[in-house]
Amino acid sequence: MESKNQTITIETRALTKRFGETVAVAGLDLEVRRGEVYGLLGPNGAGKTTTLRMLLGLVRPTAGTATVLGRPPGDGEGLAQLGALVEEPAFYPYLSGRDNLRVLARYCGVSATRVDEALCTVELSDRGGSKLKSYSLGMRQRLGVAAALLKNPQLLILDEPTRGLDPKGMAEMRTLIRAVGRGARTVLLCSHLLGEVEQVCDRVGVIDKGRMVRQAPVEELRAGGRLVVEAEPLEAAERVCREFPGVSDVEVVGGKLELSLDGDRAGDLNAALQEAGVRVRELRRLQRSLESVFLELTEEGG
Amino acid sequence: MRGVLRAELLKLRKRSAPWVLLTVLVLTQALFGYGSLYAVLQMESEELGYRDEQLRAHLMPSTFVGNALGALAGTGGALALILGALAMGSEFRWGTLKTIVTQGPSRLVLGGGKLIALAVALSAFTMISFLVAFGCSMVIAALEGMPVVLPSAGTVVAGLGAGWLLMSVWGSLGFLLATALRGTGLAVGLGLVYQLVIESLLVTAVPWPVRTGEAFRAALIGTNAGALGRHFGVLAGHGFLDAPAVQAAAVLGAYLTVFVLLAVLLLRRCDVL
Repeated sequence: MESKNQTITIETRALTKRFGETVAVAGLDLEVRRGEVYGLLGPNGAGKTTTLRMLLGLVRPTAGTATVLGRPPGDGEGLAQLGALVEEPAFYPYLSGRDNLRVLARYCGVSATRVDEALCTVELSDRGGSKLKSYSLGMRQRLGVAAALLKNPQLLILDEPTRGLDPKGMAEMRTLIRAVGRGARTVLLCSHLLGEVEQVCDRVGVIDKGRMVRQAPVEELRAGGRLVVEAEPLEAAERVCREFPGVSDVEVVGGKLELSLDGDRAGDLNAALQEAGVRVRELRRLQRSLESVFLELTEEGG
Repeated sequence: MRGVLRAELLKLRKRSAPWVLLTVLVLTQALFGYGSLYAVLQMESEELGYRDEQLRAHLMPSTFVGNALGALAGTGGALALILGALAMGSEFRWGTLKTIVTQGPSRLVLGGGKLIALAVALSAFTMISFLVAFGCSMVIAALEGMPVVLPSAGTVVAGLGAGWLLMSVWGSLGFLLATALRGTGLAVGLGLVYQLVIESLLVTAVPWPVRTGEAFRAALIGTNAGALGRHFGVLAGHGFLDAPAVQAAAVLGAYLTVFVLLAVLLLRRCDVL
């Protein structure tokens, strides 16, 4: 059995960053598990990028603690196992894409053969020799992912990887992220594009005004505790549900019951309905869009 | 450190700016250090009917070390400052500092690698400057039909060391300013204003009491560079410092050490935004 330290790739406790009077990140608690694709969601200015910068050691926290791959942020041993793309990819404009990666490979001490492998992964092999200034934004983004993959990292941190891409480029980037996130590699994806996160991520953390508002699997967030029950007779089912401990907000909508239920007790409710002689045709979690969940969570705070 | 140094050297080699700066150094040295002076020598001969022997001796191979150092202390220093500022400031301008910091090298190693690469580039500038001075002086000696008398190997080696020191002090100042100001433009501007205007004003324009003036001259980069150069035959300028070569080299070495330490300290502590 794995210990907690072995399963947690990123952990922050009360992580805080102030720029003068402005509090960019306010006591953030974040937990990213090994092997998952984790989405860090938040509106513009919520503190996502500052959080990533602290995790990468680019910016020093004002307070709080963080560990990345079991090491302090910015530690050489930790950085050797992670790849990152923070905001728009930054490269040397006078070098070709391949030479940019050669330079980065020398910085991180990996073999030059990894350069061509990384270019191949992001499908830039045929344009690797062109100067960076001739690259489209989409190509630069892909080169950024290639740079992040150079070290064949255990952890990949991607900040808005589809920024500025057209719909085709976005779809390609999502496919690429899913591909690189397979297996044991952990991906921390930072975005304000909910569709992107919904399609790619296993678990999501929503931050607003520098604080973690909610952290849960995507399915759990979308379910939101509301259940739909289709049963006969409806009146008996409604009575059982109203009397069942932990049930609230029971409504009849279109001949079905909708209700909120604390905890993971749908099975117990089903058993109670059966015991009362109610025939249950359907009992399922109501799926909400991530957008509605996100708006609800970020509006609650402010 | 080796990987960082190799990366930095690759970047410097592939970038056009260092080559442009080197071309400017070579051209200004050949044109103003030799070409124009030889033209003056020729014109004087034709107009006045006699040869300025002092000027001709100044252009001969025996004095090429002093001539090269004169060019490095003037134009070379300014170009070294620009190169130092570009080496660090461009990383802020292009946002590439975050890209390379996240690749894994510690900031200490990164700063050290960058400064060593800069020192390597400046040593190449120094050697090429010496080669240009040597080549020009040989051509003029041939044109004048004068015998070739070369300085001793010891003088050439010591001159190369002095030239590298002058260039490195200005280069590290450029690097430090770019790190502190997080960019290239202001670092180059302020560095050149200090080098070409403020030091000169401090020496020549302020009517210091004699002892205070001496103390000032003994502490400035330009005056110590001049004092070091004079031991190799560089002509004395206005407000010169009469100091032993070892003392001048020690002052310049102290500046170099302080600039390097401050730059690395700033790089270690700065937030990369």
